[in-house]
Amino acid sequence: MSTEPLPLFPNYVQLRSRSRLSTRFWHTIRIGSVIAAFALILILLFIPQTGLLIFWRLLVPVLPLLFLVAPGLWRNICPLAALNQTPRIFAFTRSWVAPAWLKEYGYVIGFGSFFLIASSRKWLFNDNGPATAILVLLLLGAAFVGGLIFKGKSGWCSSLCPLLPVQRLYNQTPLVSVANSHCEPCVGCTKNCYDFNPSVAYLADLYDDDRYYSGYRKFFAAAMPGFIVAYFTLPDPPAITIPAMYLNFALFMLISVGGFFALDSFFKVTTNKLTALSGAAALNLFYWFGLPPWLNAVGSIGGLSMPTWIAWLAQAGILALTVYWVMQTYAKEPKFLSHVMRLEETRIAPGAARVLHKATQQSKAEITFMPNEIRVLSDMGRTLLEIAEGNNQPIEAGCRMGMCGADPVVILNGMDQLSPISAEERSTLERLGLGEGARLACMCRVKGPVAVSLQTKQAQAAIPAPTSAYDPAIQRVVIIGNGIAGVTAADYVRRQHPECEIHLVGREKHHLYNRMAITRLIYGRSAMNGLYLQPDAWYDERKITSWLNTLVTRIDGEAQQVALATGEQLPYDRLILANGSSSFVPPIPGFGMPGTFVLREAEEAMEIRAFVQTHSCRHAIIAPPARSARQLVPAPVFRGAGD
Amino acid sequence: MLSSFFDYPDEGAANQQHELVFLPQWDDAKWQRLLAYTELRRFQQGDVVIRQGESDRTFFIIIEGRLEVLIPRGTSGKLRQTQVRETGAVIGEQAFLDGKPRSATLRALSEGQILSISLSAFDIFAAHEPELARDVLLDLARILSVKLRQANSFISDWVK
Repeated sequence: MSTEPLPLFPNYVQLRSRSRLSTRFWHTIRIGSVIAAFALILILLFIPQTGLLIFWRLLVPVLPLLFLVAPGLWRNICPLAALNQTPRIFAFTRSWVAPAWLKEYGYVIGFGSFFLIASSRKWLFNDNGPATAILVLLLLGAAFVGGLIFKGKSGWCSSLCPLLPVQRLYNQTPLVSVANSHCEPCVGCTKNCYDFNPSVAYLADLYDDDRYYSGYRKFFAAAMPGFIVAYFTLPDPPAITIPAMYLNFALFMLISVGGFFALDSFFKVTTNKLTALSGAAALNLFYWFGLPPWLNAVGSIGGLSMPTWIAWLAQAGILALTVYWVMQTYAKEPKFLSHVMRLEETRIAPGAARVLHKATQQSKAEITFMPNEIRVLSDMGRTLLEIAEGNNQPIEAGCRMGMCGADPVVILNGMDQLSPISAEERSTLERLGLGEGARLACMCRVKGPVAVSLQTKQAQAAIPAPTSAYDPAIQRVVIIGNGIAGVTAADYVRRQHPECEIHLVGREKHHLYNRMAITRLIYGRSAMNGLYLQPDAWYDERKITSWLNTLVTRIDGEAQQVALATGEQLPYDRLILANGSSSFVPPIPGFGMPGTFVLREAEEAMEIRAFVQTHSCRHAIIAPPARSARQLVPAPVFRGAGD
Repeated sequence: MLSSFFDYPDEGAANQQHELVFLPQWDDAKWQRLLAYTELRRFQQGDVVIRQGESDRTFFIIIEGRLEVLIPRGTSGKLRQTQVRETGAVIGEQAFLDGKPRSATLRALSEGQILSISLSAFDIFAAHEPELARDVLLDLARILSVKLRQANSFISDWVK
């Protein structure tokens, strides 16, 4: 447990696991603090001057600083809390759930009492030992009764205690965390409990969905600086009348509250930035006015007079401490908010994570796809095409046999880690005009690390010079059919013969395309984009005249010319027939009616897509169950129509 | 969520964590069978593993390493880190299910590896291992439902 880091906002149970202080230790201290409290009452009653000096002038001024540094320490040793928890320890508390009014207004009653008691010091308590003794006695009694009736700390410490608002304002971000040592176990008595999670309780209050609930806290924070200035600057009665004094307090607090909410309206910062600032201002004001008299009080005991620079130094120290505290508090808020706004994350169990981790550590080849540097760890023996497809890399696929040339890649590194190039693959690459470094992804089985680019521009090879002497008598070559065979033939003719005219006649409306991928025309929205296997410029660069959408009607061998259905004649010196085959359609009753198709050409695929759309087709029957048919079945163009 | 700071440690928190474990009932062998249909990607510190706006129906499991979730904030659209995902986290299951563009960018804070399961790989997995695929889908749906409940309670906490 102790090796794990504490969470961002540790609760008291987590804090406690780190604490070396035992519950017994705290109990002993608390017995001492209760005895001290009663001793103080006696002193106040019987030696009032000494009692007042100890209580109001020495002890009380230390509390704000203690709240700033280690509020948890005070909450553990406070005699009020000790008495409040006594009925619980000895199991005679009634343990009632706090009523709604107490939950709603406990804090308001608390800070109301605080303002009343602290302002009344000026005419009543500061100089009146018995009155102060009665006040302390009443507070101790109230704390005890609160513990007797209500469960946990809900009857005093977390509700009515006049010091609670001060503690929460002065330290929402404890500089030293001291875990609550009272609650064993937590009984869940209080909303946003400060004792349960001190570093987050105040933020949780301010961000509470009940705007009144957060409003009380803002009000108190807003009023404090004005209240402190009023306390230290107003003349003590009888210089002014007591009612006038209270009215003046109210006026100072109103100005302070007005200033706070004016800032809140205009400054585009979260309210909590202002409450923290207000708390820091109040604390510094308190010591600005309060520190010199306190030092005098300390000095008067030892019979010395303190030099003023000590007060300056101490005030500067407190200022530095509060600046640090404000920064800590500001840094905390976004973390709090992101934690609160976060939806919990999905994850696998630690055991499963170990299994996966172990399995993935087996020998793998690292394939890097450039230019985005996608690094894939692949099992040995897969092809680059499979790996690229599996990792959502933009690559086309066709025959997967190195013939069609749909998937050229450039190997940037690790050519020797791939299965060797075959004659078929080499000739396809030549047809594509790709040279050094180019491969067809489907033909590359990996056995080691490879870096590959899917952009093949850089491997563009120069059109090779003819390797042998050519026959100048051949001036015109006509090729019928512009499929893979016709285009390859045209390519090879040009390589061997830089001069002759080459006519490539195709019945279809398209240059050579990836026939194996035409099912995409049915389900995909990109039509022919990406399906062409050669760029348009390829034909021009090789001076190949393409006749698309053109039918040949007759070949006249005698006259050596080809008649086109357009009426034109193409004379030739050499003729190459690469007109391919046509599908045999078995006699199926009804075949030929609208809605029946043969799928072999791009045009037919596009007709099917058009037909599906105009007729809102939902079902298709496909025969035979060939590879292309299987690809067709899950086509979303049918799915989308409601299948 | 606000109240989670005040949950007693052995109550709500543990339950809630348990709810979001993906396929808790699977044994090692089943995970191995799924593995055969996955891809493994390696990343280095600073690599963008998922880019906001991209469409690809794939979900991921972090095998090792830490990734920060970045979402553009404010008018400048500057990317801000909102959370950090670590080893074992399942990521991107929403885009896998609904096909919408990625809602956040994930950038690597450390070196590591991430497993991806694309929809097409899942289709093949489902054909070969229908029962396991059913587990995957049911559990993704269950987790989505848990998150929806969280979001609902979050909204009722904050918007009144």
